[in-house]
Amino acid sequence: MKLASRHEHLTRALADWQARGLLHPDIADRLRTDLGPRTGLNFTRFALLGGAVCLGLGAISFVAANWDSVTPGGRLVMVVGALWLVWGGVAVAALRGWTLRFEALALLATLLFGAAMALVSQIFQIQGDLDALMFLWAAGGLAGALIVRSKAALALAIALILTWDITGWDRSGLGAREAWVLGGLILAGVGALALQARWAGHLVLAGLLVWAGATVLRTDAQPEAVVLALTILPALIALALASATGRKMLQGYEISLLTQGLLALWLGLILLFLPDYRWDQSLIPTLPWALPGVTLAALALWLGRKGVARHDLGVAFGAALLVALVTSQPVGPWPRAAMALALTIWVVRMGVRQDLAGLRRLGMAGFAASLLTIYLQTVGSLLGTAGFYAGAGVLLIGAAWGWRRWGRG
Amino acid sequence: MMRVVLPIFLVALLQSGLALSGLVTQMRVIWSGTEVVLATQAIDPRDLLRGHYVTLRLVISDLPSTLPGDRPLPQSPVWVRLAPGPDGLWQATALAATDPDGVAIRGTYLGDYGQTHSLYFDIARYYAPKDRALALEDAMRRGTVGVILALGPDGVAVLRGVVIDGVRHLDRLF
Repeated sequence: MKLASRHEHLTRALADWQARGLLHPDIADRLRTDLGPRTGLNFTRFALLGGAVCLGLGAISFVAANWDSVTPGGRLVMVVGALWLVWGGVAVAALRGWTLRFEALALLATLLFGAAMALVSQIFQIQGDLDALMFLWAAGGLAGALIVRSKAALALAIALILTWDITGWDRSGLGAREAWVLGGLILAGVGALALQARWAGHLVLAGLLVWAGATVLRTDAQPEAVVLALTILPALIALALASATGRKMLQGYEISLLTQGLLALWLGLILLFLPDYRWDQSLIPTLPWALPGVTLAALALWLGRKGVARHDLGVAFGAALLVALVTSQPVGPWPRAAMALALTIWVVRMGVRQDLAGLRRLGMAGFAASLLTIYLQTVGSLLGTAGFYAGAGVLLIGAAWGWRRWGRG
Repeated sequence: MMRVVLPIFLVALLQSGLALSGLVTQMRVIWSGTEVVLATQAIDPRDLLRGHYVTLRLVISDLPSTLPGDRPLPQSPVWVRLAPGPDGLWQATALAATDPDGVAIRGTYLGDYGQTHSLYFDIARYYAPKDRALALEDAMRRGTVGVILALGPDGVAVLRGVVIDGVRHLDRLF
């Protein structure tokens, strides 16, 4: 017995319907044309691919087994030669229009570039730490991916930037590393948009979240950086909303940006509520650092002023202003907790209004997590917790009554 | 065709250049530098990307505070003047906060800990196949092992090989 593929199921069904007179032959032919030929991995292709992989592994193992008896010059020629050979393959694939092979070879070349640096330093006893190697690998990989326009190499380069950032985690303070990481991620983000590279886009967003998280998490982080990072997030949310209901500037990436931006903003606010990361440095004038985020949010509001998401855009702009206030002023922990809770309620509301089940679930999960975090943080001073919950409850019931009364729930 | 091939060629060139960039300084120092042999201690770990190596710690990383010369600020550059010793290993003769005349190796001054100056030198690893790395570690336990360094005019050190039981093992250049 043979397990039929989706293509085979449809082909058989078309033949059956046509035979029973349920489907006109012309329409059946048009449907067959639309279905196209069967694609995917057949056995011959699998055997060829598997054979090529085995041959490659055999060659690598043979070289590795004899590596010590090869002269340093010979090893250098092999390392650099392999890099050029694979880039040559990339050129051939690009010229012949073999998209998949082009991406696979560009990915391999970027991996080989890192291996080449590591091997050259091993062969010639070049000192220097892994950190410097990772930086060069990420920078060279990113440049290569953008120049040859490879989506796979771009995704790898972003992963390398993030690895470089994470491996330098223990370095205190915000310095050149954070600036390089942010610059690299922004450049990669522009590249991902230009190439319409979805995976790279996801990685850039995840990277930006790691960057923003690292900025807020550092106990020695400058308040200016925290205000800048957190006010940019409502602006990104507003931008995603404006794009989704307008000119689709983000090319279908709006929901991802919206979801991740909301998640990051909630995490940031909750972290600032926790005692270890509270921000109450009243004498530091950090409000001007909120200006880029607020300006960007205002721009998004203007862009989407006629779209169906204009109400939510207004809320996002208001959120940018409020986030600027609660992060830059010595307001204490409760306004930040209230902001985090209010954010989750807005997410549920937005999910209902835009009919997005994912947003509704995200908002409800965030709401529960906020309540739990606030409860765990305030055990021991239950009077404050009681006051907070009572206030939140009154606010929610009032909002529900209002929505019902004005018929927009 | 050129529109497709030229960017790929440039990337291959850029990445090869980056991979070989460290080699240029290395060769310059090896061909024009002064050779010294310094005593060292070692252990054998493994690097995920670069394989087996022996971690080196030059004996001159700890120097007596009675050594003449400057006392630089912690984390600032320091030069250790060297002179050949009776056993073929070079010895520290003075500390300097600026590049001195004569043969000197550049490092970083970590601080003055009681009776000792603590220094760091960027000669931390000797890459070798596992069996050779273990043999080297074995030799360390039996007696003194030295590293052969080429020193550039600014005191930058490049590793050339090792001396085990008085026998020089110079790495091939190419």
